[in-house]
Amino acid sequence: MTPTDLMSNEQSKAETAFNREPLAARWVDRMSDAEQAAHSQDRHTVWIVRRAQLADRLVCELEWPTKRSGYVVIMGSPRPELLPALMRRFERVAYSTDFLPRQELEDVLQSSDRRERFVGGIVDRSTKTITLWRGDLTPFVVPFSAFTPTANDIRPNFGKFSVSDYGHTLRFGPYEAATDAVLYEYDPEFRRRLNEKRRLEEQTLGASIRRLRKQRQLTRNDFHGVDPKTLSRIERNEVHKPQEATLRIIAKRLGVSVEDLTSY
Amino acid sequence: MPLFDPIEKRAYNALTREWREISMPFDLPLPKKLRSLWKVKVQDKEALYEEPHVTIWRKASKWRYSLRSRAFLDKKPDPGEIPKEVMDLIHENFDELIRQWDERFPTNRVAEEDGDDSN
Repeated sequence: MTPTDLMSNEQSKAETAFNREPLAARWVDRMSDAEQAAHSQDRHTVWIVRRAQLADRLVCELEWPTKRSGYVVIMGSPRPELLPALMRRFERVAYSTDFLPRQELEDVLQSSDRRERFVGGIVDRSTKTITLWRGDLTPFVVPFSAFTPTANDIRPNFGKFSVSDYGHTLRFGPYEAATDAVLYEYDPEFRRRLNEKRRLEEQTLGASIRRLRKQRQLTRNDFHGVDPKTLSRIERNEVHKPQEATLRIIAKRLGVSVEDLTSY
Repeated sequence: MPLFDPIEKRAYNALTREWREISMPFDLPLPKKLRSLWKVKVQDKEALYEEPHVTIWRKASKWRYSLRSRAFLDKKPDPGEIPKEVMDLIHENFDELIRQWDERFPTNRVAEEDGDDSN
C-alpha cells in the first residue's frame, strides 16, 4: 500500500465517521436566522430555509471569500442565480418543494443510516427523471422507468410525488415504492453494503442472478437463448463454470454487464 | 379488552370487504389504538431480491416479516418490540396479505419454493 493509498484510506474512514455523526437541523424562518446561517461555521448544521426569498437574504449576508461549511436545504424553488453562491458556501445544497414533514426530516438528518433514506425530491417530466435527495443531502437521480406498474396495474402518478415513512417510502399518488428496492437497483454502494451483510449468507453468482431476476420481475422463460432448466441450474450453482455466451445473454436480459452480475 | 370496539369493528369489516376493489399500497387496517403508531404494508415496488414479505412500521423503524417462512428477515430492530396485537392481526389476515403480494409480484409468489423450475 502506497502512502497515497494510506492517506485516502484515512480520509475515507474520517469521512465515513463524519457521515455517521448526527446533523442538527436549524430552521430559517426569519431574516435574522438567514443572517446567522450565512455566518455560521458549524460543519454539522443543516440550515433549513422555509421560503425561497430567505435564501436571497442568506446569500446577501455572505462574506467573500467564504469558507465552505455546513449544509443548506431550501424548501421551494430558489432562483438559479443563487445556486453557485450557495454551493460555494455550503458543503451540500438541496432544494425542492417536496420534503418530508418537519419531525421526520429532523429524524432522518440525525440518524446514522440517513444515506439510505430520502428526504425529498424533484420530478422532471421533460427528462423523465426524479432527483431524490438522500438524508446526507447528496442527489440521487433515477429514471421514471424505475417505478414499473405492478402486475395488477397499480401505476405511479408522477404528478403526485412525496416522501413518507421517515424517508423509507417514495409515493407517487396511489403507488408506493420501498426505498431499499430503488437503492438496490441503482446504487452499487448500497449493494456492496448489502452483500457485506450477506457475507456469511449466500454470495454466489447463481444467487446474484436469481436476486436480480426477481427484482426485474422476470421468469426463467424470459431469457431467450437460455434453457429455463439451465438457468435454474446456474442459479443453484450446479453449473461449475457457465459458458460465457450464456452469461452474456443473461446479463443483457437483466440489463447489466457480465462483470457486474455478481454484485447483485 | 377487545382490540376493536363494535363501531370500529363494523368499519373494519367494511374495509376488509372492500379489499378486493382497493388498488394501492396495501395498508392493513389497524384499530385506532394501534394505527397512530403502527402500519403494516405491502408496497408496490418492493425489495424482490428478498423473500415475499410484509413491512411493519413504527415511525422510522421497520421490520420485514416473511410471508413464506413467517420469520423476520432482519435481526434488527428487535422483533420483540412489535406488540402481540399487531402480529395477531397479521396472522389473522395472512391469506389476504399473501393475495396482495402475489397479485403485485406474480414472478415471486409466496408459494414458490426456492429453486423451483417453474419460474
